[in-house]
Amino acid sequence: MAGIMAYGAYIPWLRLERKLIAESWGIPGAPGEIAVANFDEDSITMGVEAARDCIQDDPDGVGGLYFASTTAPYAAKSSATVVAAVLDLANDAVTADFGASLGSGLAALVAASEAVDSGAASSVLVAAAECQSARPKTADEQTLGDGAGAILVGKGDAIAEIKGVYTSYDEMMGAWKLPGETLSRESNPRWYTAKGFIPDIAGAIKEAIASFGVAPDNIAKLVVAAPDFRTHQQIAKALGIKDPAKVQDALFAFVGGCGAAQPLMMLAGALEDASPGDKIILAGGGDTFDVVLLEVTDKIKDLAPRRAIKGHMASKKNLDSYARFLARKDMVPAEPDENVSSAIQMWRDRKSVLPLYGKKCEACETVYFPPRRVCPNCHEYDKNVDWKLAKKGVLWNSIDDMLAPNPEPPTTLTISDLEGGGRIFLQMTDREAGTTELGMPVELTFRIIHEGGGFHNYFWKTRPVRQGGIENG
Amino acid sequence: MADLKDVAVIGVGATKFGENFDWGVDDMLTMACFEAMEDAKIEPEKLEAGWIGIQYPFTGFSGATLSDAIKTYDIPITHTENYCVSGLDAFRNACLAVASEQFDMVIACGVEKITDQGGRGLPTAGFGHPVQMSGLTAPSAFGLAFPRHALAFGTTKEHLAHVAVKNHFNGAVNPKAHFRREVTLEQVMKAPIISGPLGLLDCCPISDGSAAAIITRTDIAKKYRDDYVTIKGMGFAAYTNLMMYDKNFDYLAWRPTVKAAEKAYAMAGITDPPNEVDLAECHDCFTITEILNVEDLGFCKKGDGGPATAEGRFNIDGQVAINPSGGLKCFGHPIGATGVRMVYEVTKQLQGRADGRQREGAKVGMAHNLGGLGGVVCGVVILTNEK
Repeated sequence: MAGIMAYGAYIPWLRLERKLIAESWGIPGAPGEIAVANFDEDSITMGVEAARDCIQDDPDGVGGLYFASTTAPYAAKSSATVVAAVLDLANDAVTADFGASLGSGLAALVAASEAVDSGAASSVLVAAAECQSARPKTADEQTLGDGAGAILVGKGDAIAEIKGVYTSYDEMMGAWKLPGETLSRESNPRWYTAKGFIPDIAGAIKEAIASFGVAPDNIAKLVVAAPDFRTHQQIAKALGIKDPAKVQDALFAFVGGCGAAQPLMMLAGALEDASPGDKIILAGGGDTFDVVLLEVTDKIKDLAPRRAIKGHMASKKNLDSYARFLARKDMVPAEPDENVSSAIQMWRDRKSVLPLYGKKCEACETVYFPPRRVCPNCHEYDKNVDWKLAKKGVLWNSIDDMLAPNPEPPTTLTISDLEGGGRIFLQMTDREAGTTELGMPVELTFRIIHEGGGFHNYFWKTRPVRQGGIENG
Repeated sequence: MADLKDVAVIGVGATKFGENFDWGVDDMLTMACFEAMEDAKIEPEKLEAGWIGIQYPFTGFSGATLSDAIKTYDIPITHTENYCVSGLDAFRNACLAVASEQFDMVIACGVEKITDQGGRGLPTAGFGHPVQMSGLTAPSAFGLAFPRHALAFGTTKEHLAHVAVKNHFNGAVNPKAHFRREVTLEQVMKAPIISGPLGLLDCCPISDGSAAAIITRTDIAKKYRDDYVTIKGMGFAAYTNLMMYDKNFDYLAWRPTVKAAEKAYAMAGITDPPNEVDLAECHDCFTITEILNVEDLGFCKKGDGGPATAEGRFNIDGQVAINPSGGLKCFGHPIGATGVRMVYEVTKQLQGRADGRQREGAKVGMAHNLGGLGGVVCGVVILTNEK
């Protein structure tokens, strides 16, 4: 059977203490924090981050990309192909988008294992991401977080083998959105968890354990992605699992619920701490429910270090006001976007815009960006090869600008020298204004630049290397 | 066959620069061009060709922008667009045309009506690539020179402020200047930050305006006036829009200024600029721009631009008077008009007609015009009243 080859995750740099929500409205607040996507992030950019973390910027041999989200940036148009193109996957990679249901992240993982088992793809990278807004003052506002998880499913030398998959469904009106809506409607969450989610998941896990022939006591970790703070604990209890160390942290305390991305993020968290031989039950969903039994192998010891959950958790900045949170959740009207764009120009330049190719001159070996026919150094004409730029480098020059339209000025503009060559001008994100220093290391992150032309114009930005984490790539 | 040194300016005109909300493109062009023709004592029918500098499409398209204003139908008119050098490039092409003897009497002018499109900086939406240079503004493009120049030479924000204080001192007495007031070092230092080290008073304003010059050859000029001025040197150079990607670019000098000045000095036979040039209208869109420019033009050593300005070497009575008009900083900067406005000022100075701001005994004056997001393109024109 297929196995898990690698994992990755992404948690935005920004967090909001829940007490700031509570204090703003004079309502009860839960402890802890939620992760908040910045102005220039959406589920595509966060999916890219998790996927890059998973494959460490090496697309070699990745045969497919499945993307799952209930908050995809396009209602109609693939997000998977954007992520695949940024990752520079070969153009015969299989791509598909999963959505509509909170179960879509796990469903994509199961579909990926089936594609690998059937031979339809050598491997499939599954990226699930959520960038969620909730109605102010609701419980959801303090519950939902932003984040992404990514799992590479393949064959041979897996870090965890997939031992079995059990799938079921249940039709209930728990929470939903009508077309065009960004905020969820819900019926009665107590009814939904009591009569739907808990019995559905617990039942499915019991069936799965029975069909896999695994004794519950032999489960090293129960990974249940549930829609709130406590449901996964209740499911553990229903299964008779009393040792809290055997129940994977659901990330609610400091990230929040990440919808379709939650099971992949939790699995990444479980694999960070896993030992060879561990049996892991991964379960979750909503509408559709999947249970996956995994057995960790020796290969997990060989996996290169990555940020995943712990690295990203350690690197953060807390927003200093609820207003800054609301602005990032599109709850504050933004300045009109006067940018222009061209779908055709962005397509023509797709190789430089998405996977960030420049040129390397074959005459003088200068690496340069943007790609041009004539070398800016030696002026040779058409003697160059495409050259993928490294996603890290050193800051050579920068300025904080208050003039450019920006929901939270200044705009930090940077010129960086990339590892392996290439000097590039980029905006900087996820930094404290005024703290940039020439010579500091920077890394590149894929972000929304503007909405000109009525579509999402993505490109790269620099950011200070996220502290507390492991260097990407 | 004549050459560029046989080219003479016999009339100049300019509107007041500023937020000219009451005047349209047509009004301003008409006022500047008729003032120049009255100064030259010619009628519009005398004009055989025209060049007009305009940067922004919302100001005007094509040469007919000029003929629509002053009704010079049926002659060739060319629109030049070359960033902030659009106007001086119009002047250059007009000079080349009369030097070639294709025409005897032509007009070069420039106009920009920026305030019709809002007032927050220069419009940059849609400039270049949809995403690659996104976020770059005019002050940040030039301001990026500060961190590197400061690192290399110790240039400070206070050095920059001295540029603004000097140029406002000069411009305060200029009746056509956008601003008519002096500023103090403290005011400049404490002004709200726009980009990096550049505060509001380090930045030239968003201005409307127009300027015009009547150009002929010296043999013809003599019939119109004795105090015509002639071309002594001229050099233009374009570099790249992509300097921020160029590993060979160090942000310590504006490359097109250096190259254009080399050419102009070579033609003029100038080897010791601070002792051979009396005054220069020098591109000061931002204070840091002037600091690099005065070095690039050889008015002081590389790296000394800040201290030299602070010491007063570029005051109106200093070694070289830099921006006696008030410069872009105080006089204003309607993009397409600025280069011709510099020719207007240098001509007035060389004619001894720069009331209240006259550089005493001026014989050689320079118009230096730099354009682009950073130093992309430059024109240097050296004029003289020495016959």
